[in-house]
Amino acid sequence: MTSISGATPAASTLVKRVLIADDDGAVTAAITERFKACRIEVDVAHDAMHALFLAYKNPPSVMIIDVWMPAGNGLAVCEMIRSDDRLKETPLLVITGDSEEATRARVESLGAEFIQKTGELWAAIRERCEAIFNVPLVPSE
Amino acid sequence: MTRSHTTRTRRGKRTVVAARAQAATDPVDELALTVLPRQNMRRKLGRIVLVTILAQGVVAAVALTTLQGPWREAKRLDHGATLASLAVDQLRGQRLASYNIFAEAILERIANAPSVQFATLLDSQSQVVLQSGSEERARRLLQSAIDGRAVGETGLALAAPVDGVVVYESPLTDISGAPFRLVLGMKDLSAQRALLDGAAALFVGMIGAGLVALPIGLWRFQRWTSSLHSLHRGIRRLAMDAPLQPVTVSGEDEIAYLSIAFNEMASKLTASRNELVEANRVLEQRVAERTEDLRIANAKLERQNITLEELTETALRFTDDVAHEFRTPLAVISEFASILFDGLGGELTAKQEEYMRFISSASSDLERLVDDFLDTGKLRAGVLRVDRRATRVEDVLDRIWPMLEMRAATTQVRVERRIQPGTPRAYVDREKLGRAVLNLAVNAIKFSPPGARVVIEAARTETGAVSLSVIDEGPGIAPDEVSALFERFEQTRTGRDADAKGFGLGLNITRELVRLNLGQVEISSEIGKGSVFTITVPSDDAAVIVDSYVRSLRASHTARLGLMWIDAAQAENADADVAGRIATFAHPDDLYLPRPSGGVLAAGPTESVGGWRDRLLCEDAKRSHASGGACPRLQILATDTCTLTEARERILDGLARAPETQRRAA
Repeated sequence: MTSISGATPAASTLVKRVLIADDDGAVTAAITERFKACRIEVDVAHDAMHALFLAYKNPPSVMIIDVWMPAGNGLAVCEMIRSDDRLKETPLLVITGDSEEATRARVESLGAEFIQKTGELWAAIRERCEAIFNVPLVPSE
Repeated sequence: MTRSHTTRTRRGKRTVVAARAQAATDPVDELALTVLPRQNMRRKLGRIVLVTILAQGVVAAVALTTLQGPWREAKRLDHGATLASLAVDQLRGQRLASYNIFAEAILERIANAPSVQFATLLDSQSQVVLQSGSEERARRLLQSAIDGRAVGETGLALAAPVDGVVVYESPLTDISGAPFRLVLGMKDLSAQRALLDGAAALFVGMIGAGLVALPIGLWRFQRWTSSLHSLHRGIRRLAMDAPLQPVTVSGEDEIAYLSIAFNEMASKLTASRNELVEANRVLEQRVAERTEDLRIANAKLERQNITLEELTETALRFTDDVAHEFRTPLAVISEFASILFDGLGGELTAKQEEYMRFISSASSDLERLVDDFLDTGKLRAGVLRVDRRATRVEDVLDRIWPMLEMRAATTQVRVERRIQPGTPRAYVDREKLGRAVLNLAVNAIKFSPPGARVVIEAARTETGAVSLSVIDEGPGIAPDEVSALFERFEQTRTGRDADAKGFGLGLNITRELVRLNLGQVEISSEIGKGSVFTITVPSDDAAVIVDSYVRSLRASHTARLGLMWIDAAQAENADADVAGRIATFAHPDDLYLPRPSGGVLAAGPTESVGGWRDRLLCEDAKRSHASGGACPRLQILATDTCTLTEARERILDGLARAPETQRRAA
């Protein structure tokens, strides 16, 4: 897979950018609101193709991907990212309401992290992202 | 095929050969010939005949020996008679004139013959001229002879013989030329002759009877043996279940009667056997009918079972789908509530803040309900999985704490946690134990009056396990209601009076979640003072874990355990966490303990390790396939079984010792 994006990897490492892919607008809105409060840039995609397109165009620091989306599956997106030379190191967080162990195993086998959609969704995302960015995520005034 | 009845006799061999020749045509004949000693009977008969002839010979010899005396005597007497007649011949033509001395000598010779008692010479006047032998007896005999016969002008008419007296017309004449008569008293030989005649007749009769009786006997014997033979054939046929043929034996002897009796018996036997066969056939037919009925019923049941399984599957999928559908909106509600609560949507008034708390609590309650609901379904279907590993109690509590604090804040209840020094790490599924504690704590908060405290205390028990107590200052539970507390969907009266909801399902699933962690839940409560719910789970110590495991198996009446030593096959990027990987598909009843020297020791309630091993490898293969083969495959190094009583020792031993010293996996 060759990259279709012209952006340099350096830019993506300097600017903390999160790509959120979920067909549920409310979920993306909530997470976007949280990241924006912490001054982190957010790209939002509502289907798998769009997510891939955005990732290639503007390589993100972290991708947060829903499993069940139109125009492709979130796990397929993860596979594409993992097989792209430029993007394969991108941390992937898979969020889903699905509690099937098989899904969890599949997610983990792809080197992604599995996050259950619960009331502590932000708490879980923040925990992972703080570890990735190595800075505490607190809302800045 | 032909069985070789080797008899020791020469004839026996021939019999077997003959039987072999016939074997192909009639097995009954073969057996009859080999078993019935017909030839032997003939030989016996021959012996009897021989003995009879010998006996006859002996009898004849004895008779001859016995009769030899009388025979010789008779011969001698005959010889005597001959001598007498010779003497008479010598006398013929002699003249009396010269007779005197000469005649006297001849008469003496005659009288001396053995068969002659006396000899008397009479003249024509019947006067005794010469007398020899017993005169007295001669005179008496002569007198009786004279008295018995008319004495005519011819004097003595003795031409007709008197017993024992022979009168010869003597050739002698007196001077006048008149003949003399010679009267001889003969000895009586009739007894000897009769004896000899009798003996001869007996001898002849004996031989004759023997000659006549032998063929008749042989003929009869032949008939008997063939009768016996056909009777034997009949019996063999009967014994071998061959088609019945009546035994035909002619005559009216015992064998014939026996044959008739046999025929009757055989026909009755055959009749009852036929009845039996018929009854059997009817029975078999009935069995076949019933079997068919059963088969149909079974097939029906199987179809119903499949339908039920499909229904269960559908129901499970449905609840899972529902849960999935619930989770996303619930997450959105929670997220925005907390966004607002955190002031990201602008400053909130105190009132608004309080309302947001209610929204958050309600949505988190709903989320827990969804989780409990899902887990209950999974538990029922036996597909709930558990991932037990060494976990700090703080990590368990950290995870649930924000939710708990928010929940407590809505009813002005304070939550506190106390982790006693020396509390060991727990060997638990963090998420499941967390939910169990959360359920108990949320219940405690619900029942606590505003301003009360709920304390969560972690400590080490006397046995080295970890206890997590949820202590409240609520109304308490009556002792008789404690036992009913864990019943599904049941709420205590006290609880209902206190107007608290959602107690039943939560508490029930709590106990199941604790059970999955090899733990127990205990309640102590005092009306008016409060309740203490204590969860005890194993600490991260092999002995404690195994103890808890064995106890939980005892509760489920397990008798035997299977043991397996597992390792991950060496592969690049090999995942060292074999136990964690197995946990994603292992049954909750099975225990997977990491061994200090690497790999995993698995224990599980099973009669045959083989089926368990195959299932595990199959599941592993499926998972490995689902993840694109990235995971190293499991390797079973060894297997074994043990009883529940020896389980503790065996598991602990199995952890420490290398699998090579255990039984090798096939």
